[in-house]
Amino acid sequence: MASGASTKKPKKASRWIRRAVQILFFALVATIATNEILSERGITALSFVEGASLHAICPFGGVVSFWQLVTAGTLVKKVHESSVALGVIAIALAALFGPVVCGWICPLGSLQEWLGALGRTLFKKRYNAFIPGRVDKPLRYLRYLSLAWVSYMTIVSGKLVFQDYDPYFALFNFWTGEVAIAGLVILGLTLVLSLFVERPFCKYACPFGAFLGLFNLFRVFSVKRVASTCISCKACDRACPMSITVSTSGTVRDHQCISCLKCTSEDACPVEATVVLAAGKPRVATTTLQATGSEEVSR
Amino acid sequence: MIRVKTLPLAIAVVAVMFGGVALSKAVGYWNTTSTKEPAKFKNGELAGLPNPADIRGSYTWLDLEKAFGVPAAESARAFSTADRALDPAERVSVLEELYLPILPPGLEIGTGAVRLFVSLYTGLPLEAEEGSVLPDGALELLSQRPGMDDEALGRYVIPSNAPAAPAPAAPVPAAASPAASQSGTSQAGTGSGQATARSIVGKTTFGDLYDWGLTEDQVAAAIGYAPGPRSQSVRDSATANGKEFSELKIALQALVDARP
Repeated sequence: MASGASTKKPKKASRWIRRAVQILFFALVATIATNEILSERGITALSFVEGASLHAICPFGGVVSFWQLVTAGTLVKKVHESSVALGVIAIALAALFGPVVCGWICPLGSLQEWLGALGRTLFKKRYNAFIPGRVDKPLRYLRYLSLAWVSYMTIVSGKLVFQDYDPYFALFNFWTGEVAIAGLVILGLTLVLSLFVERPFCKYACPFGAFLGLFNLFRVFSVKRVASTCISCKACDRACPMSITVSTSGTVRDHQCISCLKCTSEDACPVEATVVLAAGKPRVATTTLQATGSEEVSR
Repeated sequence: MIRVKTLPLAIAVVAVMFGGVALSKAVGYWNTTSTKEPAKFKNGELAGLPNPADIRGSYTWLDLEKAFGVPAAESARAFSTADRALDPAERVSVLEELYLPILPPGLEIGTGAVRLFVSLYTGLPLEAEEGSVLPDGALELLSQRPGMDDEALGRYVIPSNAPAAPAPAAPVPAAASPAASQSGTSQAGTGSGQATARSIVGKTTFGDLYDWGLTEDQVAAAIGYAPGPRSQSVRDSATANGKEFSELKIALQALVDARP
């Protein structure tokens, strides 16, 4: 790992690009789901978009239906073919880039992140550090219990058992009277905890995030750190919303990575082309002392 | 090393997502609503006929007319309340909310009641939910059907002084249904229509079957696949395995009845 001065990168607008994508999908999902509910009540205020139930545009419904689809040729109640299509798309994206659905598309993830910005303002450095590491680390595996339970119950019952507990469903349906108390409570807890912990539901409870997180183990494009140019400033560690230690990784294979790219050289990392999203092995960088005495990375 | 920066990744994410949706639309797989065509009975005399058990809350009265031949306007009127006249184009899922403040505690009129109503109207068999009741308008409409057994319908009347715990489930009796009596089709586990301590109903679990003396092998042989865990209901298992609950019920009830 090289130390000392390196090529400084210019300021980039990468975080605004991701934020724009998040806003796009949040608005799209909210409009589609709201239009469906309003149209059921004879109101056509949002008829400029195609209405669909939240279940119809939730890829997780498609994922948990795979078993029934394969074994019985039918879908779980309330799940439609569109969910299966979205599930396949989410898997394809995850195989390529990791859980970008979590980091770029999921409206609940985005909302937690936006609330987190408020929490960061309120608590400064204490934000996202309230839970001690020894407690936090095992808690991260809770979402696999959640995934196992949801998958098992869906398979044996043929019903969307997670709906009653799903804060994502509650978020867009809280005003309809169709949301179970448990779902509302979990949504409320998620939103409040987001002020203290970054993406609490994603980290500790989301079954879909757990499923997509498995793709971090073998995704094609991964977050990679070029050790030869890294200055060990740990800016990547501090930037990671999922509290992953990027600064000691070669290739980030942590199951919690959401491919938000906050750690990369386009955002937090101060050194150009040192933390990147890439496929293949990082090329070894060589350093050359220039006549001016400055050190420049040549690649 | 092939590097992907933020902007190309954003474009890829949006393109794959919308492109995938467009592709699934192009191949005809994109479907965000149910077809409103209920599953059909697969075996026996009823093979090919629509199954009332598959009616969903998203069905409208018009969908029911199309699928089962139950007149939409009359049905909507039959389920209307004094305060609210239902539109035939409305979803039947509105019933639960509509009747919640009207019914005594422990009783419910929702999609299950519509399934029961359609079953009684058409004579197609159905395992009624426990404590099923029907609104007076629906019972009146059913009583006008030729051959309908008023006494059998009586069990679905909303009790004026309802107990906290509703009456046990009663399968739709063949005698109550004119079409069934006319066609001679038999109902699953009808008998007297009264649930006994060892009657298989919607909530009967595999654990109940074992407690009644059946072995796992017997159950597996009767249903045609490995049974689920003890806590799983036979109905849920049937749904998950693409089977008709009514068919499994007949086979299992015969085994249970054969036990001393």
